[in-house]
Amino acid sequence: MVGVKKKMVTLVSSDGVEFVVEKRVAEQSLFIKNALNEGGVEEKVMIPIPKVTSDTLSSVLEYCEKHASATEFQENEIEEWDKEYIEKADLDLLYYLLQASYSMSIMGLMELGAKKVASLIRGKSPQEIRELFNIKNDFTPEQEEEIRREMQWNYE
Amino acid sequence: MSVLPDELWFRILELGAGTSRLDYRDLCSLAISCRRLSQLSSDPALWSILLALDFPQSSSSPSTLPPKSAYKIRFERDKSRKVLLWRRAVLNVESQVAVSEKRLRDLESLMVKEMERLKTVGDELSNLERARHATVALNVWQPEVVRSSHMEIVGQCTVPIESRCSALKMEVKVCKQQIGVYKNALNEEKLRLCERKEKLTSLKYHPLQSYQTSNTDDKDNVKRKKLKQSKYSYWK
Repeated sequence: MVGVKKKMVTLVSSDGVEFVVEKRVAEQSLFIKNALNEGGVEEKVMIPIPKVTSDTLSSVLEYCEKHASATEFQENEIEEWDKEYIEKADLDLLYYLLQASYSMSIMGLMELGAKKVASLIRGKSPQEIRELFNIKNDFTPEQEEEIRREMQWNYE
Repeated sequence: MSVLPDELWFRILELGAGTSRLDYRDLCSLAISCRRLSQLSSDPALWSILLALDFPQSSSSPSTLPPKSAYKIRFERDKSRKVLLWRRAVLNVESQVAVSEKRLRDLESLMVKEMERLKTVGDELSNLERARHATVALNVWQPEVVRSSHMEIVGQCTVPIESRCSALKMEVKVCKQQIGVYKNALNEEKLRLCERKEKLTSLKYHPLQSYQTSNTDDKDNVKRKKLKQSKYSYWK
């Protein structure tokens, strides 16, 4: 964060696309921050990001860029931005963002995504939840019957 | 989505419960959807969060029960309380309906009485009118037969015609006014009865939702009753 020449880092997505970003942006990810510290290399760092495709990574970096300069904005401005950012992500992107934020250790993004998923679950029936997340019902009919009976205390 | 690591799913549920995005019902829905989510959503930590959020007063006495069972017990206790409140609300509205119905019957019989009174007054008035005409007719020349019948009518009339006439006219006016008042009251009472019956059906239709509204309704009813008393007390 010092005022000297901006240090740049190159991130490589799982499908081989290179992203050149400021170090302070990349460091929003604890995973990258640690990698940089461990490496101790000053110039021209290349960090491969496994399991994160270029599409996802560009979206992740959009988040990192905003939050790296969070001090320039009002708190509620950032909140608004977060809201819009996660609102426009479809279910697929949401899934990849969660995966990426988890593997790259970006806690803010992970929480943002997790809250969004929780909002999606809210008020849905078991069947609707299965359909939403493409979950297979792996209970046997007897087991489902049993668990339904166990849960019926809150269903009128 | 289902292939997200457990930690992430747990984080979703934890954050969801902590920020009131997910409630006990959602957790139970998740539990029914598949085995993995069943296991994840039964985590004691989640139910501790819900327990603290939904029953804050119980957190002071930590129980030895697992949080999910504790939540269930608290919930059941709360549910029976809700059911009681609901029953009370239903009884309350039912008695209001009965009051309205009785009031309607009373008003109807009062109205009938008033109509009868109007009719007798009207009869007497028309008799008097005839007598008055007869007295006027006596002042002019008439054939003897007509004159004697007029004399007879006037003779039968023992009261001073003019004053009695105006008194009766007054009474007719009062009667009509009273009937108007009863009619208004009848309509109002009918509306009120409709309202109360509607409320009763809605109460009976949503047995669990009634809990939240019953409190405010109680106040409303008291107000309405008071209003009714003050508004209509001048009839009694």
